[in-house]
Amino acid sequence: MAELNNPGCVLVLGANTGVPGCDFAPDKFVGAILIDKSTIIADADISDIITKLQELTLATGRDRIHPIFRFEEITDNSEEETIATLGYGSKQVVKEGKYDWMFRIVKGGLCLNNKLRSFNKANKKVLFVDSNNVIYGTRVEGGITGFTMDFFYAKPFKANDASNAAIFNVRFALAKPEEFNEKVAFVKVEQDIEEAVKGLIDLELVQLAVTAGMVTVGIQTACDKVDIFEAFGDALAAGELWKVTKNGAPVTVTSVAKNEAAGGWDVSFTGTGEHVITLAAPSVLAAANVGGYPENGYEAGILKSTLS
Amino acid sequence: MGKDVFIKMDGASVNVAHVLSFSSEKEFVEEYDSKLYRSRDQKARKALLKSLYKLAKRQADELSKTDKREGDE
Repeated sequence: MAELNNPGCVLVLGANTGVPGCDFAPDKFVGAILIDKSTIIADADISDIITKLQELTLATGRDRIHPIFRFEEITDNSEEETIATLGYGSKQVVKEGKYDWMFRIVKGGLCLNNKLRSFNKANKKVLFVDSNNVIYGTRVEGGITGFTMDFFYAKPFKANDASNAAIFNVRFALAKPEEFNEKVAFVKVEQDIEEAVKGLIDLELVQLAVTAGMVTVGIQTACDKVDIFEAFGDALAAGELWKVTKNGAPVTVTSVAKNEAAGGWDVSFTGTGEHVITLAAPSVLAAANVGGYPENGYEAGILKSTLS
Repeated sequence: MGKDVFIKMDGASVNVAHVLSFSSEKEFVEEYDSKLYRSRDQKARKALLKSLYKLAKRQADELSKTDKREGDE
């Protein structure tokens, strides 16, 4: 409670310094998860945090979390504390140094790096994951959240110089050292987090053919152009997994059929002119066994088709 | 009945409400003869389309019974 003329001083007692039987210290950080600054993993979800994180990878909008794994090297750019020497020779800690870590990522290449660069101006928080499958965040009322960042920066790639492969680095500058010290919250899980919590893969819809009332659509992964027809031919022959709109208004899908010859899906609806075709949300696709744990989830882009 | 209920059969999925908008099985089969099961021969395709139509009718009947039961509660 606020009080007049109270500067907020407390009696500093320090703390007990008995050595615990089990030492705990963070191991090598192998990954990070970008989360919205409003996201809190509630205390009730901590016991099954992996399920919660998996659910959040498939969420829409700002609730979605973005795992980044395969950190293979750290460059520690953290500051030292700032110490002032006073006129009479005494020294004082003026401010603590902030954490500033850069990690080299060895999987994902230029495509993933470009996706990560889209977060360079995003106002996110971050959870870290170490090689012992411990997730680190900071304690807030009701649960844990990510560490506040001054910035996240996925650097432009460094070219292969004939001695080293191309280098992809991501940098996390944390704003508040106390969040990773006195206010740290960590959860050790008995699962490989990198395998359990995977980011979404973008899908690209391609028009294979168009006739009156029907568009034949092929689907491939956006980065590496892998055709997914073989894997999901039957699963995606389901009308409820497709969305068609015209000028922003939903258009009823009348049928969807697997087209073996074309290697795509015949999507039928009534209408002429430009229509936008896409797939359902990642969570809906995952519920229909199109992506989701133990594989990556999928998110589809849009296809514009003009029907006459 | 919700208009986005689909039934799925043999690699194809149709909107139940749309199927029911056809006045007869024959009309539905004629319309969809060129849209669904195109890799099958015509005899097999017609048989599948007829089954699909019957399935859609049955699904619609079940959904309307469910809606009625929920309305009575």
